[in-house]
Amino acid sequence: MPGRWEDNGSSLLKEFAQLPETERWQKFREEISRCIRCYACRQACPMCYCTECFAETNNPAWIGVTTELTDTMIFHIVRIFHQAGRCVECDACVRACPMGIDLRPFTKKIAADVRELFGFTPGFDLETPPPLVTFREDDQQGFITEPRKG
Amino acid sequence: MDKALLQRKDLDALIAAVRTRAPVYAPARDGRDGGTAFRPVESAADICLGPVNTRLSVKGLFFPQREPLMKFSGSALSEVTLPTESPVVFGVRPCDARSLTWLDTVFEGGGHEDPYFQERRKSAVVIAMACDQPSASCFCTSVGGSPYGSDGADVLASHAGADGALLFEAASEKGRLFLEEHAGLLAPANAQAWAAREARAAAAAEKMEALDLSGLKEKLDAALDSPLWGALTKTCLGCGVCTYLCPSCHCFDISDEKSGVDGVRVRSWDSCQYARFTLHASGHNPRPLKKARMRQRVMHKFSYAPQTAGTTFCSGCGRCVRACPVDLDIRGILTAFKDLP
Repeated sequence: MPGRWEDNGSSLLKEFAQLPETERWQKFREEISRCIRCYACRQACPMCYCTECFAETNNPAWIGVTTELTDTMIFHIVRIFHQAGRCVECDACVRACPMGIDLRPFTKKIAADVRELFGFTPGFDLETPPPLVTFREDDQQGFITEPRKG
Repeated sequence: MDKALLQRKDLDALIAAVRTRAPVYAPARDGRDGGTAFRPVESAADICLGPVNTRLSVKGLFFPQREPLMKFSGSALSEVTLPTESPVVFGVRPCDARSLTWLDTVFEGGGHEDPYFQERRKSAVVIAMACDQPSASCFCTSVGGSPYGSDGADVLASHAGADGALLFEAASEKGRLFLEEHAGLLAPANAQAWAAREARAAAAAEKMEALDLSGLKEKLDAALDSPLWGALTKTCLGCGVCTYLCPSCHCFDISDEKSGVDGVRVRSWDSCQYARFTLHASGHNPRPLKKARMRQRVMHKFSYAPQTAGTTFCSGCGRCVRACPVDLDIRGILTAFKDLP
């Protein structure tokens, strides 16, 4: 597609982020429904370095191995969330995909959220630990809900 | 009826005629980046016979990436319904059609008949579309194929000229019956049209550089421990792109998807490029390194298949070349071994 790489995906992020929640979910489902689970995104990712990927363990088997949409979506959700605070937005996952799936609206949304919530951009400073691998007592925790209290 | 001409304006009528009893699948737009995929189409306007072959080959229509094999509830087993839609698949490139003959060998041969594949294959009419625009990554003529080949197809279609008319040639009894059934829309083509077809077939083949791969099997067989395997696969990422996009790769996994005591046993594509493909329960892995895994892929297609099936299992469609994230080109691997002293 002409101009696919023109603005480094920032317009894709803008377009995605302003959608209502149900439409974001729909867009995610549509894009991921074409995934063939070849793991090219994971293999090309500089920050995917687990020696054993949760998507492939079979004891326990966290998710199924097929392209059943639920399993494919869980693979991508967990992989992308796992990169929060670590994804340097190199977009290698997008270039590697043989199906032309553009993960940038999702990877960049997570990166933007980390910037907004923690003021952190990974890849610039060797000393500062990524915010999601540390814990402080004054961390924001409004997102934690107690199930029984609703 | 063995040979006929279809005017461009009648393609919609042909699709409509087929659709009264069966779906028509053809390459159609997929995603936003210009790629195509086999999809059910309603008219000629939906069909996109672009300059590049479909992203995924046609194999998925016959051997789906995820396929339920049976259901269970506790210890009670039940069968799944086998496909019955008898589709017409239009616009299959000759490289993909030829690969179907090898899937036939795998899923129909050796006394291990596979009803899931066979039902789909038997009921479908495959109309190949001759290829006038091979990509730079295509190499069918190097592996015994041809851009106007009809192996694996029931009908071979080709462009009859700039006006969009199509020449149809029956390539099987099923194809001949298909042309008979739709004879009302077809007309005989004159000798001039067939002469032009020959010229186009020759021109298409000329567009590809043909590699001389004679004697390759012997060279490969003698080079199992060659350091070339490691050297040539250093950049491999170990993803499954080359195998999943390949029209002839057919390895699969079987797993159970359960909810409580109910579930379904499914078959899904697997890839020899994954380390877990050969991982034993003991922890031992007979192919622990990617050089051993790529060697398996190359040897299966160019040494073991010639030995067991009498043909290579590579149609030169070029998908693994085009889609590899690190530009690992199988033609380079083959040439390197062919050129060994």
